[in-house]
Amino acid sequence: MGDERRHSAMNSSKLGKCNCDYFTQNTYTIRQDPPLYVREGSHRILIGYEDDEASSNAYAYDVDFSVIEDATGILGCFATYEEAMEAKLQELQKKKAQNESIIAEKQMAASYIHEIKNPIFSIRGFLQILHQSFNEDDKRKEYVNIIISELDRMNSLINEFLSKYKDDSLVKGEGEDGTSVQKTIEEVVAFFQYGFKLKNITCKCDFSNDELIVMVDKEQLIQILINLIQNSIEAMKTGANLSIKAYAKDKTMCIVEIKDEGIGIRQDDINKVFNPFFSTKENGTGLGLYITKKIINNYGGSIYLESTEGKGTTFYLEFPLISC
Amino acid sequence: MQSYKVLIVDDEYWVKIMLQEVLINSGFTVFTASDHVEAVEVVKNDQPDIVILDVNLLDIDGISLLSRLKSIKSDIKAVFISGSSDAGCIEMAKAHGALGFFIKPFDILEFATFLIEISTSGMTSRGEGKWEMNGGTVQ
Repeated sequence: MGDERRHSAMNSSKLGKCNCDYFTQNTYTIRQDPPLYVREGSHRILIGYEDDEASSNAYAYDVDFSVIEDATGILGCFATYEEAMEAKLQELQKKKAQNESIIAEKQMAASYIHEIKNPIFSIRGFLQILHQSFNEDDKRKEYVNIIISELDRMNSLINEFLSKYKDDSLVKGEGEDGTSVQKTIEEVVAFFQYGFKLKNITCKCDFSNDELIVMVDKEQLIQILINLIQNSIEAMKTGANLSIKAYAKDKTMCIVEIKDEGIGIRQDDINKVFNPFFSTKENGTGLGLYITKKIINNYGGSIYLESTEGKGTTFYLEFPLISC
Repeated sequence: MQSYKVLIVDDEYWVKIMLQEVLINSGFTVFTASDHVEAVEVVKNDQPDIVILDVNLLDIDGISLLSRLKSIKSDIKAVFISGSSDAGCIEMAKAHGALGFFIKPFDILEFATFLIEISTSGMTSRGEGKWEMNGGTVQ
């Protein structure tokens, strides 16, 4: 959506379908024909563009109106607006949920298929033991050989299936010129401003001066950061602090530290948090951190954590730096 | 010479029993464990020379368990077995000083021969072990 389009939507004569709370009785009348009313102050408005009717898309904006008047009456109004950040966040989260359900399905199928390998292995092993117990001219020795080779065929069918069912959603994104870690963090933190406000969370970012550039797809880096920050917000009580640091280590690695003052992770659970389908949340898919780790590993990075129950959790992300 | 002591850690009952059978037939003294608690107990009490570890155990991953077992018996040797040929996992096993990585289902007689080699040659350092990748064997 270009800026031009936003302007036309805000222009009275071309206003699309509006579900705005600024068309109320207690508003100023700016103009009679065609009528335009505004209410002063900051509001959230939702605009559905006429040309978008088929797709029923609506965009949320945070607007701020100031009416300018003098003794003769209203001269006009001054309006500023920006796309509402959490609307953007919701969109990203929706995408993430869709992504996760596809991965869940694939992962589930793959892990069931994988489990077949254990019985195949024990059957194959016992057959080898049986094979040794027969004399060379015993017909049964030949039968056992056939069973073993058929089992091996079964195993290669499983491997073929597994390689076709591999998660292509976790494949590395297209390599670009690199992604700025600081800028991406700032962008994601901006998405969460509303969430921070709701829980009165103070989010402090502390970055090294040099711009940290990593060869990670920006969309995937955003997904990782949303996962981790969302987890932190959910784990924290009202008024807690979140600290995000980004710095270079040995000029080769970029470290991102996300430290919350949340409920922490039980010592027994620390080893399991990256396992698929492990979740302590009521509605968690158990895939957020699994996917996060997969993506990071794809880029030759790593993720680890420190956590104390009742005090909080710190996640450390390491990515190879391309420049700083 | 005292018989070489092997500990098998796998949560799959019949896999454990089958490997036990093969290794006893090959002359080893064999202990088994299904989880990290049992494994730690065996290492403390019986001081096995080598541990065969499944990578994916129910309560812990095999690589973390190896670090734990090494903190009890620092010279314990390790060979990993796994249903998956994940390259990252194989690298990790190497980095933790494992002597080999076998992908299930593998040839148990070859496996037994490999363990006999370890027990007689005193193979200790990484790099000389046996590494399976994508179905093939990398020596």
